Amino acid sequence: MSDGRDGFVPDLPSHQTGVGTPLGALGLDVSLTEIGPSRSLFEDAWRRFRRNKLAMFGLFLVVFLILVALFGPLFVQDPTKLSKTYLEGPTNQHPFGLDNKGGDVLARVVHGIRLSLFIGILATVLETFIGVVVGALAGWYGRYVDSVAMRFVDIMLGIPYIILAYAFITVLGRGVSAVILTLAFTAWLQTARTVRAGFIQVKQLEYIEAARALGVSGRRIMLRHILPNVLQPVVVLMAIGVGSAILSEAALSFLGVGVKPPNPSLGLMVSDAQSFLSSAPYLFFFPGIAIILTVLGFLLVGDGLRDALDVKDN
Amino acid sequence: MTAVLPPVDAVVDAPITTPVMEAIDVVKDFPVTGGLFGRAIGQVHAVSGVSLHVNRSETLGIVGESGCGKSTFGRVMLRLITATSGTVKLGGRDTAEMPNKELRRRAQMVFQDPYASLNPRMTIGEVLAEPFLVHQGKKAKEVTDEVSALLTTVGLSAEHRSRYPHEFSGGQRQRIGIARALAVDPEVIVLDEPVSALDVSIQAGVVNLLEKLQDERGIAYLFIAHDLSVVRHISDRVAVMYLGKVVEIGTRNQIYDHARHPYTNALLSAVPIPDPAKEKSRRRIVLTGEVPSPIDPPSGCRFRTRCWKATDECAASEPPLVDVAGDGHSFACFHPE
Amino acid sequence: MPPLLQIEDLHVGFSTEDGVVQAVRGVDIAVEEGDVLAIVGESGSGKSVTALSVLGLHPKGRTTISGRVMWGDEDLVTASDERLRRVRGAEIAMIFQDPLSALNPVYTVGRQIMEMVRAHGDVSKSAAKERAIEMLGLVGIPQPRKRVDNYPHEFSGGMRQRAMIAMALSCDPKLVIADEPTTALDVTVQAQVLELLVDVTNRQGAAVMLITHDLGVVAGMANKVAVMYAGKVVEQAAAVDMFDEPSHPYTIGLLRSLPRVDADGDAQLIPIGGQPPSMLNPPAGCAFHPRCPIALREAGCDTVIPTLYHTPSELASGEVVDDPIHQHGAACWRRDEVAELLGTVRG
Repeated sequence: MSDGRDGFVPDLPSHQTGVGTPLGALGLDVSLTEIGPSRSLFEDAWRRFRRNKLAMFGLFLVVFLILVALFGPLFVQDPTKLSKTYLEGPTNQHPFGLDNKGGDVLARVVHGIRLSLFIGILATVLETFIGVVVGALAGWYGRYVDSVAMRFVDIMLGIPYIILAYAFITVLGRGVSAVILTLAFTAWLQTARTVRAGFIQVKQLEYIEAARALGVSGRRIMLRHILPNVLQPVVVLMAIGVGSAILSEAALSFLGVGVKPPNPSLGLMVSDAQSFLSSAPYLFFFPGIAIILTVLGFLLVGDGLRDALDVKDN
Repeated sequence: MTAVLPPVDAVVDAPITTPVMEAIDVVKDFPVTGGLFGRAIGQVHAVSGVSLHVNRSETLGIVGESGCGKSTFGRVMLRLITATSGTVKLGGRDTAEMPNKELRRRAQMVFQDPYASLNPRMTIGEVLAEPFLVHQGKKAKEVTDEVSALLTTVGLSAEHRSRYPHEFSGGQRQRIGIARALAVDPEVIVLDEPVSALDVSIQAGVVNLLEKLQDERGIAYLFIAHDLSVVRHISDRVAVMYLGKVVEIGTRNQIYDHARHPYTNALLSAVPIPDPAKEKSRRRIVLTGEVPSPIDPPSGCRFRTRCWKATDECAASEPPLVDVAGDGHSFACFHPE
Repeated sequence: MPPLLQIEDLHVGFSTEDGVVQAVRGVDIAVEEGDVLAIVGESGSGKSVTALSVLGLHPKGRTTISGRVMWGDEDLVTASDERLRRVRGAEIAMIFQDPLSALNPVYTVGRQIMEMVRAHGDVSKSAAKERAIEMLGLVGIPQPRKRVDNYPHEFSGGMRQRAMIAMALSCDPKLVIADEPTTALDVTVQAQVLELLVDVTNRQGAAVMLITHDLGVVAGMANKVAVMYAGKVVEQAAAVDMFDEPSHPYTIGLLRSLPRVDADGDAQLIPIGGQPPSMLNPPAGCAFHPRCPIALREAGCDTVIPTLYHTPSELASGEVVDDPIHQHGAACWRRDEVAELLGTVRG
């Protein structure tokens, strides 16, 4: 039998052999190779997410809105087409009514959602990229690079995004690009801080030291070892970020420094609806609800992601 | 210039007296920052002049309590921390002049914490394939056979290559860590408390594995641990450290059966033995005071503040580490036992 | 004389999202006056959970406890929160593994001891302070009058643990539960602290329930041992008997896998094969059977959970004892054949 080093195997007295059905070390080949069924971290997280009712509701909202954004415009009329009548309440032909210029509110809301999602997602992707790069470099190199980067972040945090918006508008003119850039350049700060903190924390873990002991290059350690372990909170920030960006875009448009009319921005619609609050409340109601649902959906998903991912890996 | 490494056979034929790895007067100080401007206001003298060596197929145990500097020393040996001064030699050559890749291929490390020493986002197949990527440029697909071989060598199954670390137990993870160190076929492995975090019944399996690997491959081990029982079992020679210095070094039997330094004896007398009769009848040496701070170690012999034999001589000058009888048993004490 | 503490058929389960973790699956343990009872086990054995259950220290929402913990006439499992609060510290004290996290860093050590003393009796501030100084001196902390005003971080590891012991003993408890009290300490300090613990509790007439994984510590300190595996006690005996004549394959396996400082040069370490069991889904029957070298289907090892069946023990005086607390129990269906099949520990 095996040498005593791998596990104790006693000599059974001869009268015992063949009598019993041995189990354990004598019978089955149990041992070092036994581990449970495969459980990836992703499956665990998904299971936890699924159990969170609010998160699933948020996910449902987000999926619904994405479908609306993608396919909605096929089913509604051109939002810029103006009918002769205006300021008419919801009817069969115009389920959300007509606004003060004769535009179909439903069409404008659908296109508004599409635009909001477009701006929100693009701005978030851009800010995440910038934030990850800056945060990673600051966290990895530390010292001077870190100090400079963090002072820069601090300075930028002090600038209200309205000012930034004006700055971009001056250069690019009012419109979607200016909005996206404004949103991206304000939101990356939070991501950078999070990624930097993650880098600083992970950098001192033993498996990073092990990678260095193996001779793994700095670049590979950054990309292959640290980054994947730091991205969890970033994913959460992204989800919440889209919601936040949409809200900010609405705010910018509401204040007149966002998207240019006649582009159907939900924020613009709400802004225009101010004067008609008592006479035509539906002008305010529908785009307002759209904003709320969109933002809510992403925030719930983001929260759900945070709870689903926030478990100590055992 | 690519370093030409001697194949394993050549190492066998080389004179056995060339140590695989050697430390000569290694010193490591860490600055302590403080004050308004974060200036250095002191030094932590973690390692203060350690010289020792380990030979092929031999295990040198390094023991000591917290603050003795053994973990720092292990990392300095592998250049994971840069020494403040002193030399580390691998196969007779100064590692400071060795390209990083060569050092990392010939000297490896096994870490203490099985839960933190493996990247949770890499499958163990990827973990074990990485050394081949780094040193031979081979992609994961090309080394499936080698990875399987590594897994079976350490007692795991090749089928587990696509699993993640969190799916394994502590003992299994530690075996994966050993497999990772083996992948580059090193001449020496530094093991920093490799079994401390494991249950006792699992420790034995890992220790046996290490011994088997040493017998088969001739790897030298620098086995750093605080557990004197485990060190006794696996080591051929043992070095005892206190506050950054080696106070005694010798063969296993010399240290465990005939220790000459008071600290070594105090340490040995404190280790609990699972035998009630022996335990109750033991004479336990109780040390007074506490371990001094490594920022401000005592003058002369660093152990004198807790030593029952200390005299003025011990405060005035530092006892040298001397092999008095010429039998490989060195100790640093003016009043040895 | 009835035992001080009697744990009867204790079951503790924790609900997690993967299911219920059955940490303790039916444990009977008794502590008598003057005992130092060691509960030994590795990770997952349930030893710490058992200890924490005595004082009801588990998170309420996720824990299911059944069974009884008899403290005198009272069942602590069903005791009110108010009653438990009064028992903790005054009658049963607890010492944890990590003094840094068990002691409040923002209060001086003296203040914490005083708080405890005054919580359990009508004691004036100055009297409480004197008591604190007295206790610190008792545990061997030099210059106690000065150090009573120090914060925990101003003590070294060993001193902190001594301070914890001082705090635990300040109200004269009848039982001290120590959960791995020296695991985080250096070995030279460990020896001192353990000796202190046993000495001081002895002097104050308190019994000790010592949770540990270190059989060396058990050999030096305990008069009785309970070995736990997978949530059950698998062997229970006087300490001397357990080391002399281990009767459960797990205990034997454990002793054989221990490296020893006093060992022979080339003694073989024999590990226990396999892995510790999952407590979500422990093996059927005897939880040790997948790793047991003598497990046999016919004996019921994989189907029926063995009981700690007892054989009468002979005391040093020659007297034969028949009551469960003083017998040498081993939960193995093949107990009678264990010695024959597995030999002695060094065999």
